[in-house]
Amino acid sequence: MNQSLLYIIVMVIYFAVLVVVGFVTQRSTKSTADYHIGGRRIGAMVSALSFVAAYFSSVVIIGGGGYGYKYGLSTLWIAAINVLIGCFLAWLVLGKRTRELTKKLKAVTMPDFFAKRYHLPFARIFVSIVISLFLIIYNVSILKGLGDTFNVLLGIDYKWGVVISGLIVLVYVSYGGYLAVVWTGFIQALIMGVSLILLLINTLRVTGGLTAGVAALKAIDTGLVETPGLWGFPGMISYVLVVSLGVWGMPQMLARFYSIKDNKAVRNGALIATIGGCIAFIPYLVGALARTKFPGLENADLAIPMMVNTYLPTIVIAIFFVGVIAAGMSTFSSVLIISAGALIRDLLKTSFSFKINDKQEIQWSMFSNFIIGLISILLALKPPGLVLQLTAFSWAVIASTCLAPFLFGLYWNGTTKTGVIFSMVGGFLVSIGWMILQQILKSHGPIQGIYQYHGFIPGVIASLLLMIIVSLITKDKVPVPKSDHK
Amino acid sequence: MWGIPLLTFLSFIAAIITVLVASIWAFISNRNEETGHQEGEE
Repeated sequence: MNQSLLYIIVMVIYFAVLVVVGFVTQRSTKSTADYHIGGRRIGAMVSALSFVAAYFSSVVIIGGGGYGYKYGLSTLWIAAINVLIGCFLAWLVLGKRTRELTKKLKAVTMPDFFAKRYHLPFARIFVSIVISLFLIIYNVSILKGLGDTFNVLLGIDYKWGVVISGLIVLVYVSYGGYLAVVWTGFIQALIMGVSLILLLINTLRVTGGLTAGVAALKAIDTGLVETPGLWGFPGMISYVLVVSLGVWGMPQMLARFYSIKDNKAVRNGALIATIGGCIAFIPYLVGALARTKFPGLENADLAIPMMVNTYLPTIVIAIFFVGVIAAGMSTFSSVLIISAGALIRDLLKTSFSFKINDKQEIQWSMFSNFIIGLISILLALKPPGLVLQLTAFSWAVIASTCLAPFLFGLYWNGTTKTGVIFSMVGGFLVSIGWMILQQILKSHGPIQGIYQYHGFIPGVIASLLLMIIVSLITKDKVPVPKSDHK
Repeated sequence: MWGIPLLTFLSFIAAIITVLVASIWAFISNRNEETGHQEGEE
């Protein structure tokens, strides 16, 4: 069978399944809680696998492979810490408390949680704006991964790859809402897992096994197998923390805890997500080994697509292709639904008191999904950087704004309203200011010393310190509401 | 192992230990809750 025809058949079947899921879940979406968080009735397996799918999107498969190609095996530490901090500890520390508190407060989005937990309308407005703006940059990185994949595997122009994949996600998210997102995420995680395992097996086959692959890599540069090797500790620690601890402040990841049905599902979900998270090792390892086969790639993000296209059998390429598309789409859809919630529910309806009923809110959310998606597609047509750089930038700003107020909001009775405002605004300004400073320094030559650390680290540290210090010296305390442990 | 330097290889070990700890934690927490429920019923 003609190769392109096979890809198209597999892709059409897959897209048809997604659209059907979108329409079926749309029929179960009756309230705004259904649209934004699936009515808090999602089980452990679906929650955990859709968490994994949202986490390890095309950003990790394509961008992680690109980093593996560029810096070598030390990037495996990103995967290891993703499993520990991004999966296990995130579920352990945040899962149960988030589920119980958001249920008690009847909060369905992150800005909604902040406003109700701290009785602070400012938090709703500020966080909604930060989320809507900076998740668009994350969308751009996801769409870049999809565009690169379409380009290498199908020979379709990069721009058309971005437009086609972006529009399909827009259709099923706009119709199905959160239920469509988690169910398609679940299906996508399975496809992603299978395709990554097939890629790993084939990569080890063509490199003559792991020992031979590592030896070939060592022959190019020993820095490609050592830790921190070519990367250096500042870069390594920064990226490891951004994409691991960053999860703790990312609304599209935390939404899984709002919607999970009970505490037993949280415990089982933690284990499933931790095991599922181990697939993150594959792209970094394959990306590093790709350097032995394709030295001198100008665009490191093409490492994985090149390996797939050259060494996998046609049918496996088709499955992998759908897997990457699945990974990108699952994250893009999760991000879209969160952005729409922030804009319509938190900003327009609640903060600016627009009089709309539940049905209108769902319609407006669908419309805003479409607009945010279109803006993301337009920006992704000419992306300003590598996939993982764009992701780290948007995650750094959002996590620096949200992580400390969210974490302290779950556990600490001593938080004050003033502390929350200082923490949010301070974390935001420090992270973004730090990254602007890095760009200025970079224009004068290579960055040295402490300035090599990513803006996420000073941003989160500032946010945590401000929360503690300002809360201790101010008096407008807002204790944690008592939750019913069910 | 496989020619990978120790510090790099430890990343695999770290992930395996995390999965083991997560399994033990989930098992013990689920068992404790079931025991708690049974005592509550009695």
